Amino acid sequence: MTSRRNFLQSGMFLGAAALSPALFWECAQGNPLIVGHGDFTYKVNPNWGVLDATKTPVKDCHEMVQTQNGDLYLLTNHTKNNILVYTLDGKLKKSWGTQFPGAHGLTLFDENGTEVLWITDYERNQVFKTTLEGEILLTINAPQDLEVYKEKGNFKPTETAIAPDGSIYIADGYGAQMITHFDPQGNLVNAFGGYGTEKDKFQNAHGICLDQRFDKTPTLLITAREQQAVKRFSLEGVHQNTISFPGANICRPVIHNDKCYFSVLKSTGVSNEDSGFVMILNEKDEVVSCPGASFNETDNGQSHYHQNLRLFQYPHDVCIDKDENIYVAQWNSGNTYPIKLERV
Amino acid sequence: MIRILGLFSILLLFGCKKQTTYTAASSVQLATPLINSSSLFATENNKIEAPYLDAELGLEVHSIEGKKRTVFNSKENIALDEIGTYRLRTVNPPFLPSEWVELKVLPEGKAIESIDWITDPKPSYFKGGSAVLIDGKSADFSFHSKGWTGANNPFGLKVQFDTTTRVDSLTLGVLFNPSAWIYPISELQIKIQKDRSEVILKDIDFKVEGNLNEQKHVFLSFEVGEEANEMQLDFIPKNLPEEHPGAGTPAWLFLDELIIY
Repeated sequence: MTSRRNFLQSGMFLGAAALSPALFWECAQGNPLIVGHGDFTYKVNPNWGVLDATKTPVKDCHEMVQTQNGDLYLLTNHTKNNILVYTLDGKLKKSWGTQFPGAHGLTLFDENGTEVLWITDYERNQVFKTTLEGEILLTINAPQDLEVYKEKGNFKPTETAIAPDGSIYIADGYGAQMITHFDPQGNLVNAFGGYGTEKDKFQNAHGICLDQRFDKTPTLLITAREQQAVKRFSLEGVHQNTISFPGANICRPVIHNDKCYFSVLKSTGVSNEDSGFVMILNEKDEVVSCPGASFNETDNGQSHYHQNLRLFQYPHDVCIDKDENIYVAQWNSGNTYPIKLERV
Repeated sequence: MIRILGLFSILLLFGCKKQTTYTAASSVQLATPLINSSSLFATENNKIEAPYLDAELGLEVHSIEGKKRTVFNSKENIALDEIGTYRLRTVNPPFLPSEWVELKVLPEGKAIESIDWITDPKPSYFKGGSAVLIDGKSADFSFHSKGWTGANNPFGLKVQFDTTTRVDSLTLGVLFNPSAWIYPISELQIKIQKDRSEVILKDIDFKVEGNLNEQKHVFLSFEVGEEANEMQLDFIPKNLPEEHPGAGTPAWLFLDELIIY
């Protein structure tokens, strides 16, 4: 005879048995998505760093860097707080900056043991060196000695790279497409590039970084975003080679250990506009992983890179932390905070 | 045993909840594929073209009558031989299906002997020349592709027929891509020449409506109702409208096809 207690137990059992397949299914559905390829795969954490937008809002999240103590600095063009400083666990540590309406490029440089930031502002047509607390140490204006910059509005700097001697390379990705080289005091030393399709010219010289890997002579990696390519130059401004990534509009190169990472603003092999992803290159400049994307060979034998999942909107920069997690800052993504990709 | 199973179910519930920190595959949508047809017109040889479709994706094709067919090899031919709009999307569970892509299949138009830009075209957006406007093929969404011709200044097109032709209407394929400042908002003047006399037929203002974040391929049709040996279309692109961040600066007008009915 079945007692009421036994019946309830049976009911629980039956319920569990009936629910379990569904729960398993839900759980399988809920399993973290793994993106990327080969040894570079990631879980996607969209909740990292989400803040109260009424207190610390963002507009476009343009770039991010990590300081020696592990803090992550995010640059946004929201003038309530141009810089948000995060701890590694995504909590807000502090914020500062109200004077950079065109805040775009953020570069960290260790200046004899003191870390400083370089901020480009394409609306103010200026580049600023600041302390980590936001004090402006140096301002570089449009180099009006150059004919192309007689009109200072032609200088719309998007990125800087700092050489070991403290001299500054500025990429003018939204302006005249020149790469200008200044000494540590901000005096113009050299200029090269400019708009064009030739190998040493640019269409959207958006990002620049110093490549000091493998004990080779340092070089500059400069992206030509609209040309879907990165171009390598000597520090004197001589073009060395061009690496093309058909389909991928790459923003700035970010070197971490022996790899080079890019955010890809958008790609041309799909029909949604918000078609960006992340790209990782090995030491031979070969693509080893594309979180959020896939690549296939076209009829002419070239690889073509395109978004396959709508995880990102317009990735504008990547920051790689000491555990090789990636933080993706996005442009025009509806005022959203960065997305964290946790290395698997 | 029963208690153990009950406990297991509870643990499973909590286990599932713990996963919510990370994005799940079932909440992510597939990217919208870049799909085109080999022709704009309803012919047996009109096939789907999807050069970058990943091998693991299924392509779901809804015919004019709404019949669904899913193919797992994008090279497999499906003839687009009926006039109307086909709807296509990619599928690959547990991901969410992609957004729909629509392919319009139109009736063939009347013969055009030649078409020429009258004003100097912008070389960057004239890679395929004026011939792309009568090649019977839609351009893909990339405005850099040679299937598009574009301008943000006044320009004219001259269309010539080999014999006097009855022009009931004309259809223009245009691109709507506001994020690239490409916005079909223009004045269009249609002039007809017949037996050496030129007549200004119509002065039309047109504007494509849409969401500023979308891009789409639109066909615009204009009534004509005249016989002609030659027809001239003068476009005067207007400034971007108030709702656009670039309001007040000239809008780009991109065309990929002109069909005469």
